[in-house]
Amino acid sequence: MSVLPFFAREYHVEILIIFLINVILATSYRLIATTGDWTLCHVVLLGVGAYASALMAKHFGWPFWMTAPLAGATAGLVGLGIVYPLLRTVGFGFFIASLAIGEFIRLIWIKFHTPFGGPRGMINIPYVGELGPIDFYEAIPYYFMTLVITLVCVIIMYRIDRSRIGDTFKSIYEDDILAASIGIRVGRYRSLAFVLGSFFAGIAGALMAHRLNAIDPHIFGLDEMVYLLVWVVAGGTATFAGPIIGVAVMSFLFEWTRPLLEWRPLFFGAILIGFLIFMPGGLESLIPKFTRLFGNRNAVPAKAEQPAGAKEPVV
Amino acid sequence: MELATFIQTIANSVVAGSIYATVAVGLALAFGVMQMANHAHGEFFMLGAYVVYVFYALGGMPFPFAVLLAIPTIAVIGLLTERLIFRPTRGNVLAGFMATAGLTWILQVAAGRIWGLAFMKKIPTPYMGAATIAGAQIGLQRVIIIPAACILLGLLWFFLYRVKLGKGLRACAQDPEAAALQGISINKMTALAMGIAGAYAGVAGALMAPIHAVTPYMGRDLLITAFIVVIVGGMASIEGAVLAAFLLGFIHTFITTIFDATSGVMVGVAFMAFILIVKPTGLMGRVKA
Amino acid sequence: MKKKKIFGLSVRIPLLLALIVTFSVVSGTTALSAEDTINIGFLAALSGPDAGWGLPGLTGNQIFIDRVNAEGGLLVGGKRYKLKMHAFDDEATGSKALQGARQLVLEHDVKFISAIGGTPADATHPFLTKKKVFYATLISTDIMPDRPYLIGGGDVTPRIDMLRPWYHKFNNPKLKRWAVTSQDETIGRTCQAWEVGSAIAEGWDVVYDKHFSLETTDFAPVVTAILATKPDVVSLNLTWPDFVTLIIEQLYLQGYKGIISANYIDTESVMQKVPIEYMELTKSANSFPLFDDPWWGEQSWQHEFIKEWNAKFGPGAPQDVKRKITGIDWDHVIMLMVWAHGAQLAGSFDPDEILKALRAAPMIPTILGPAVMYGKEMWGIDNMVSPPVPIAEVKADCKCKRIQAHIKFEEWFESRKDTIIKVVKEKGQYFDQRK
Repeated sequence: MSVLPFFAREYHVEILIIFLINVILATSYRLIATTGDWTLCHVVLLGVGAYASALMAKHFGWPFWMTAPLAGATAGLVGLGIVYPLLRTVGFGFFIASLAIGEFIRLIWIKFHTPFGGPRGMINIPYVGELGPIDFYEAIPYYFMTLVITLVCVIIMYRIDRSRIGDTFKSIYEDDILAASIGIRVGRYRSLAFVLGSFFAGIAGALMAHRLNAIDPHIFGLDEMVYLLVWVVAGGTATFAGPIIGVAVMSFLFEWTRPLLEWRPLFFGAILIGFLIFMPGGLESLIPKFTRLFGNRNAVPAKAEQPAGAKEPVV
Repeated sequence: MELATFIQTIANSVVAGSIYATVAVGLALAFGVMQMANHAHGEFFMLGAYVVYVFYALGGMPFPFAVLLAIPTIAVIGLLTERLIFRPTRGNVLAGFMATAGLTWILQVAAGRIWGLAFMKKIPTPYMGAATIAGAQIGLQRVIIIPAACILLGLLWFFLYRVKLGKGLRACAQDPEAAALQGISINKMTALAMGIAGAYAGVAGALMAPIHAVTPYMGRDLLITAFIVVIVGGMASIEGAVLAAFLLGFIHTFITTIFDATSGVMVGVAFMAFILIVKPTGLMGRVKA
Repeated sequence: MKKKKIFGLSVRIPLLLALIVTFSVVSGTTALSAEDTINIGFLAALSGPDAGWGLPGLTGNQIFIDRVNAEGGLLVGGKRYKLKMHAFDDEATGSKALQGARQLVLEHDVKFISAIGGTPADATHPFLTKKKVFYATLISTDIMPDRPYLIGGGDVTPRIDMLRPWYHKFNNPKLKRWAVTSQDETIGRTCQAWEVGSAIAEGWDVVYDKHFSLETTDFAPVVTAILATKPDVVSLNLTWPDFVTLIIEQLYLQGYKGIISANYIDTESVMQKVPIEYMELTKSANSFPLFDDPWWGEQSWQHEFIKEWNAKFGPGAPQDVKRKITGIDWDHVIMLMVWAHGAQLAGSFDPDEILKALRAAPMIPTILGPAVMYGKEMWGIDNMVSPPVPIAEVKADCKCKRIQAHIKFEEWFESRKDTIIKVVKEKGQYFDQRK
């Protein structure tokens, strides 16, 4: 990934930047999903980060290295606020209630022209600026900045995933009643996962806002959320790498199918259905078969397939 | 608020509530039976409106006949959805929901390709004119939605509580395993539930076709409202869904009239969050959402 | 001690896979076009709910391009250049539009982009300004001094919204009360501010000046509130066509008998909801002319365009689009033709030269009539192509719209601009107030 941009044409570097931002988004989505809570407001939290960073950069003139973590923190705080009513629900209720609450936040941006700019959103968001001779307006420097931030975020999330906290998340997914009975405060851990996921989504949002220079509520709508689901479902969520594979493959398909014009949503709708029915474990479920094929004995034993979102609601 | 405006707003609230109820009962029913959560429910509504466009506006059939035609047409689409999407993903409510999100895109694109994009479809108003109630003017086309919805909801109630098949459906919603032991076929019941859900969404769309902008994307805004209704009502509760539909109809319409529609939707969502906090099972539900 | 790996194998293999996949995206090369071809872009919603404003525009542009290429190309500086169009679907979002602008410019080297405007204009302009590429918007409110290559005006908004108060006053000097509404979004707000300014300058009492939200599905309450102010004219400013139909239906149902004025009235849709006589009675006036209007003359560009469109895209044609021609079909090509004309005047495709030539031209021929570059006092830069504005009324006999007047905007504006601009500034909608 580090030498790639020097061979690629400028436009493709731009696609790679978007790809990296989407990697953060999808990986942070999985972080929440490991507890069994699939949300439908993750793209809205990306927007919270984007709006927060844009507002701070525009009104206070703060530099990107300050606004980006603060954007993450803002998204995390908003996540903390909305997870409270959401915790009252599990499984599908959580999913659908998060959709409604996400829509609520989006409507706030539409309703309040000051400071969010209403339906048209915000324009003239400052660029990241320069660092010595490097101008981050240019594609390649921005690409490397995004690459570093993405790597840092992904490594942190990977560490969380492999830590006790990550195991606790997964134990809640496996059986939340059992987890509660051995003294795990299920609500706290579900909130923690949600807030952490929101935090990283917020950072992705900051990266997006300062690359686009303009944002509006439309970018964070339900259609974009369903595209995120397409990535996550196509990749799978059982392993850490699943969503990353999903983003990579689906981004490629997305660019490749441009000539389809108005047919394209139909194509992706069919892909989504196809994966959920015929390959519920996602592309990652192919990996163990793949590694076995090459006789790699160190390969991790094939995990039980984790179909997208499978979780029986507690009755 | 002037008296005429007030009365008009009440009438509009009842119309909105009737439509929400007709749309949401199917959603609640399907969710009750084997937890089928249909993201494409709004698109069923849209297709119902297109049935009226095809048979009434283009085909020249009488309007009531076109509305009745929407019932079997969209019921068949509901059945197909059950067979092709919900049955393979059974036991995993999120997978079914996400797969039907894919179906949403497919139906939107298909409608756009078959009947064209550009502006809304041209559907003549079958019953022009307005009723005057205490100085308030209410379009006849809106007024007839109220009795139509009452009849439809009454029929559903009759079916669920007085007909053997309907009782089986309720039994299946309450306890699928026990129902299976009684010799009730789960597959038949899920198909039946989706058929009814499709029929009711379709007929609601058909009734709305003359007063709503008919476009491939008309179902989108309805989806969130319909699910809020179902959550507030108590997920699988049909009675709860009807009650919540009328509550939300009043909330949306009054706030829209006094402030604006964006605030209306926001207050609706806030209402849902409030219900989740104080009564997570919804107004009339037994199951936690 | 064993060195800890940052990523386990299960992660590294997929990452490698991701790398391969992305690399194959990157290495997929597109052949750059030949020297004597000039590429132009079409960057608008081509899928999803907004496609109705984008997709049709491809037809008009294609007709023009085919015409030029049939003549051997566009004659610029003594040499003929073929034109080639590249379309990119921006899904009406800023992020996709910026990606599209980058693709069109970096991959296809386009010199001119047809677009809808709005948020996509906001997102793309810093890049396009830097690359010096023309961006033609349908929405004049996108024009700003820091966007030197963004041009607009083919679509007559908001000049039409400003001229309707004059038109109705001219026809009905005794009427006083003006009510105006449009959807709540930035373009609606800006255009409505210009209309209110004009209504005040024309001596109307503006009795209702509010916006309804985009989520509105039932217009009964909105119309009740409007009618409570007892207006003589209900103006819908640039309310979208679907909303216009639903609002007129409510106006009819609630017994309104005054004048209706809107930016775009789709007569056929409205006729389904209210009797055509009602439309004539209320003198329903709007700005989108029909190209088959006899007003243009038999040997007109407009009538030729309709014939050509039907032959290419009409029923049974090779590229049948399965719909009737709409205003959007020719709305985009207006600006493309202005740009091509500018290139011919300048004898070069250099954007600065083209702008200079267009501004210096005493008259620029457009589909809607002779235009000039104008707009300094409205948008801070003379980037609005301003042809005369047609005003059409709905007529019962032909069940269609017929042009009643064709008004030159600039003289009218010059004599009233102080009042109008003052109002626009009070409403916070002047170009320098949007940061």
